[in-house]
Amino acid sequence: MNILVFSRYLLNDLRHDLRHSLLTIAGLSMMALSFLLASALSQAFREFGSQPGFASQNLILLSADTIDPMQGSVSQSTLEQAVQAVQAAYGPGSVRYVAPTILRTLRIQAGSTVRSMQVFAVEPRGMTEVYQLGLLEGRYPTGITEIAASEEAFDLAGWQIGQSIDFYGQQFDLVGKVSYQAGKISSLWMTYFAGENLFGTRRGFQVAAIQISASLDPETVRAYLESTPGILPDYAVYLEQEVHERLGQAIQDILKFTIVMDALALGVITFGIFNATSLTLAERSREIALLRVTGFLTGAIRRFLFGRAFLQTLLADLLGWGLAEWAIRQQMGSSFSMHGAYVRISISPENLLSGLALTILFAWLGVWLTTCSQGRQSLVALLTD
Amino acid sequence: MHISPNSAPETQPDSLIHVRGLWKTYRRGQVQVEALRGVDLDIPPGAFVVLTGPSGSGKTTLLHLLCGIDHPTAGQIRVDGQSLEHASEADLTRFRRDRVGFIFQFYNLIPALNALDNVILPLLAKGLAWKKAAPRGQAMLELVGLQARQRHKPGELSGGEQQRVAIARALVAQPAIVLADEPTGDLDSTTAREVIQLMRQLNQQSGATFLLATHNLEICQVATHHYEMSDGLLIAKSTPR
Repeated sequence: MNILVFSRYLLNDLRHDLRHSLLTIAGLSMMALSFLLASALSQAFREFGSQPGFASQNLILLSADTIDPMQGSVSQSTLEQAVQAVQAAYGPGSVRYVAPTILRTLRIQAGSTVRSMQVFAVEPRGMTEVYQLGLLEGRYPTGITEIAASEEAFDLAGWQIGQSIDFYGQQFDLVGKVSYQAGKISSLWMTYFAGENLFGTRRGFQVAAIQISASLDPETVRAYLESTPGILPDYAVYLEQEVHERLGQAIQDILKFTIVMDALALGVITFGIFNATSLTLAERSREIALLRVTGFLTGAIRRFLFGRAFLQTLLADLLGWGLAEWAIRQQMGSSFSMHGAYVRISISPENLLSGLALTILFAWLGVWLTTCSQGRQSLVALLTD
Repeated sequence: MHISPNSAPETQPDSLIHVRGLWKTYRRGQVQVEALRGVDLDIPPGAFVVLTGPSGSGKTTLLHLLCGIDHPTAGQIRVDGQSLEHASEADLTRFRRDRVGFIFQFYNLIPALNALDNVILPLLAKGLAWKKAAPRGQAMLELVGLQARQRHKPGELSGGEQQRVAIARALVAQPAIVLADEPTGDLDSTTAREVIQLMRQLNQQSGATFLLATHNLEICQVATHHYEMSDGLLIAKSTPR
């Protein structure tokens, strides 16, 4: 049967039972949708978890009795005690800079969506010297009503430099776009004074970043600090990398869950396609037997049936892809943040192609196994079914 | 023509269908059913043969074995020079494609396809292009009086019209043999007579051998040969014409 005749019979066949064909395509597209969404989510979390590490000479002093460091508070006297201890042990030049930092996670209205972002209030020199921000556009904030935002925050909120943003009833001018070496964090930056003005002074600061000399080993200094009287058990000292690894770890835990979801979606789509194909063919065993009686060889029948299953699967995949893109754009906004961790979701060509390849493979498998099974049955039995 | 249920017959040199010692047994639950019990049969080319007998006498089983959609338990079948008893599935499919047309009681048309598409299926199975197959299908539909209905699907045709389409499909590839299992079983008596007349006319025009299994004894009037079956055996024959 040549390709034109093949296509004509194929379309006639699909059109004849249009309602059933459309229902099958709709059902399969839901499976494709769930697979593409689950794989996009797990890929997004995987990408966040696989960000490159960074070198830092910062030691981070936090309250030890809080799960979330943003709930804690570090007193000025404790910070001074820690700095003096390091200087006493390693010399007066061992501490390069100290940056008390007010830290909050805020839910900020960005367009029609609420986004969570980390807010850092720190002196301007602390932004560049300690947190090593890079200025991408505009300038660093200096005034009491000025903020800068990380590029991830810009992407999430769709902001423009020069825009006015409202926090807790206060208007801030967005003056700069910055990059933060610690990774993909949707963060806002303001001066320490602006932070005190916004959040009040009652809880002091939550984080004290102590930048030590490049010649010192941060791990050794951390161990020393933790043995200093007055630090433990009320405070904990972390390397800056560890603080962000804790966030990464939370993401990794979610990743494990999404991998399970991904595997389930994969199972649903592969066995769903296989099942849908096999059932359709089983329902039509009499027609298939009739084609054999008429003189069609099994190979030709198999090609026809696979062509039919391929067309249905392809349409379902395309529909599922369209729905997945729509869901990501409309419902998730392409990216989101969890405690400031910036996760960007997209359907990668690899996921799309692997989904397509898997569905086609299992459609073929469904056709092949069903026709093999029918080939072993007596034509008489199939015709009289 | 030769019939001999009880003794080994000689081969008829001009036989189109040549059957010797044909047995077919199958299991139905715990019971072993002997559908055919040593049938011998020779049919010459161009004959219009009618096979009658009560339900369960083995008529349909014999037709199925003759067109290679079932396998015999024992015995020999040679149709148009080809032995069927040990042929592979693929060989049997090619045999049906090239030499046999089959007409079912319930038409067995493909519902998704219109009359013309149904009729030309055997030509497409042979690898003919649509442009070559379609005119032959249209000519065949004209021959059975359905040219005006070629774009209609089976669901839009009456029982008699569907059976005419099935006849056209069975004949379009110019097979040597046309086998028909109760071709009038689902038709009213007037339509049944028309269909039988049509088949007889096509038998005379095309020279194809027709073998019909039926309960309808009226068909015997137009048959060149009449066989009667009972309990898996050919028990009687006559040559009405």
